[in-house]
Amino acid sequence: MNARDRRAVILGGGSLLLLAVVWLVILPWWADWSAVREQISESRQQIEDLQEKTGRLIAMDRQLEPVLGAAVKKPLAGIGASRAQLIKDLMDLHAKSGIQIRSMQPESTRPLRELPGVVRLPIQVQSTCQPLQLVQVMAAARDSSGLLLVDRVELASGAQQGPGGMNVTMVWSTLARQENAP
Amino acid sequence: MTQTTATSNAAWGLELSHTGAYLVRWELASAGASAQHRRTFPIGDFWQTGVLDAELLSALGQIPQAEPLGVCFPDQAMLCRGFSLPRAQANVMEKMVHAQMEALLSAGPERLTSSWQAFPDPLNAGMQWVLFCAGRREVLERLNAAIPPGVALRAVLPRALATAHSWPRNASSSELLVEVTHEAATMSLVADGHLLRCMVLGLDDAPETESSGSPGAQSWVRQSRQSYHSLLEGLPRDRWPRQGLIRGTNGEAAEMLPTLADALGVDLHPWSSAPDAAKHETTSPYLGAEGIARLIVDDPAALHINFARPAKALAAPVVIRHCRVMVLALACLAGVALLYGIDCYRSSWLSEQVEQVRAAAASSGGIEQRLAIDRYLEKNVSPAMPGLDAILAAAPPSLSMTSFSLTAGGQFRFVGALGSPNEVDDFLRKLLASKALANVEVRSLRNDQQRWTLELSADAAPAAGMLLITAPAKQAANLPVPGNSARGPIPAATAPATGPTKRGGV
Repeated sequence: MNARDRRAVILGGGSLLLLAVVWLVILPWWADWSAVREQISESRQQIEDLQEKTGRLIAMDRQLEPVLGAAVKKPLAGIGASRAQLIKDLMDLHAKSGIQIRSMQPESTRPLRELPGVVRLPIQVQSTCQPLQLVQVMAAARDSSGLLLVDRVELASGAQQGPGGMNVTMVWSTLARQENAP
Repeated sequence: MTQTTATSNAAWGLELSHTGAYLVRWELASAGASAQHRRTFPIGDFWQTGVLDAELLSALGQIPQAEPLGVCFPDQAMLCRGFSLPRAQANVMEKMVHAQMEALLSAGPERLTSSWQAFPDPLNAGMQWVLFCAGRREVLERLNAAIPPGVALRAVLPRALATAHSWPRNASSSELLVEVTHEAATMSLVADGHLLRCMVLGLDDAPETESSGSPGAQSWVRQSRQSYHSLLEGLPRDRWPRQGLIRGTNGEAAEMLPTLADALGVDLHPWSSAPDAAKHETTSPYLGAEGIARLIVDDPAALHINFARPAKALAAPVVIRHCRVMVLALACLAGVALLYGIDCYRSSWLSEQVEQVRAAAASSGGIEQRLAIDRYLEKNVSPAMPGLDAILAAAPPSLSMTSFSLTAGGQFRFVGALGSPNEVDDFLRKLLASKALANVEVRSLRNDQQRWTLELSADAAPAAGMLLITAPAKQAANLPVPGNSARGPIPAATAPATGPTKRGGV
């Protein structure tokens, strides 16, 4: 093999090697790098979305907290746990306000159309109290550990209730996660 | 083309002529200088193909790396001129020399390779003599390329320059030296041991003893005279050489001597008659090879004019350049790899963050669901508190509440008794101004025993549940309960004419 042949072999071999390197190493690597960069931008976008949603959530929580209490930040519990918590919260609430509960009657759960997987658990509470106490109960509901919502209120004066006493029928409710919901 | 080289005690000389290639080793030993390993090789078609004889290549390949090689080529392939210039700084001198060279050379650097050296003018004190030599580029490239890579090629010179210093030196005057080879005769003008100029004459029409009167011979004589005059151009006549030496590798030198001496008007003597000629072989075919080998051994610093490709001088920069290129390439690769690594790390970190945030959000019911719950609560907060607060805040002291209700649809109903029509009017006005209530409507107003019984309905204002209640207990504290009211129910017949019935949202 003379020098020219050697040169030709070296050039040809080098070109083939270069092609192989480009084909087998550089192009896949470049594709991988592009995918990595794409993933970075996707992750960034996702994080920005999550941050934006978190910001909105925080703002809404901040708006709701003075009205409904700190319970708005808590995740929803299941129906059983929520109902038990609701009964306990209502008993505590009325006891703190000095209101005697005459009866407590759970009503049927209502699935919420706008919130799939979430139900509303209502309980009707009958008691006797003065209007002042009623306001106190509703104000104290914000400090309750669970979320307490007022569905209905009926207040009527009754002759047998004593001075200032009124028959109060209130339907309280809370939100719960449906057990079979994902 | 100048190379700075270390002194060697042994060197090899190779003369490439049109008749053969002559290789010799010259060694300077303690016993004296001597030529060894003289070998002659066929030149073949080297001047056409540039490929040396295989045997010669093999012989060259056996030259030790420590022993440099000098190559000389026929004088016909070069042009050697000299001129005197005023002394000047190196850069100025260089510009002047280049200007002179451009004027003297008909071909450009694409065809000729040139080199020069300057030394004090031996004929004019205060001036610089510039000797420059130009060779055909293709011949020189072919010569350089023909030498195997492992051989330390130190010098490539025309034969005249290679052998100039082996002539006997006559320091007192200028001298004409004529070197005759098979192909050409080179006339060199030497003064104070310095070669000043060269002229080359072809020997095709050179006179032989028996045909010195032929037209060809006469033309050659005329040509040699013209060349000689060109050699002396610009020199003061008193410094023209009066005598000269002639030598040759064949018998032609002796035959040419009388004709040439007569034509040039110079007292020419054969070199064999020179005082130190006995020390040298004057007709050896190895004169050129020995000359350049001796030049390398004796005076390597004198190699100012040198057409050898500066292999060693270039080797280092090439290696350095290659190293630099490699370093740069590696730096680029490292940079790219670093960027890739950074991107990979960022991607992994961001993915992890996204997963963590998602996991955190999922553990608290998911951001989407919590947002939906918040939106639902915002729309469905009970207006009971703000509504009751609005009614209690608007209530006059005489109000005794009979009933109050709030439906799931957000509608208030209120029944109560007030003491005077003015209070009814004031009460209604305040309710209408309330932000928590809308569509305030009086259902009935009856006067019963000086008390005005009022029944009204109202809707919760949009987002009324979100209105903040301040000090509800304080407001509620002012509320008179039915049993506590000092006044009785107001008779419906005494309802004020300006009663606020059907005001507000009606």
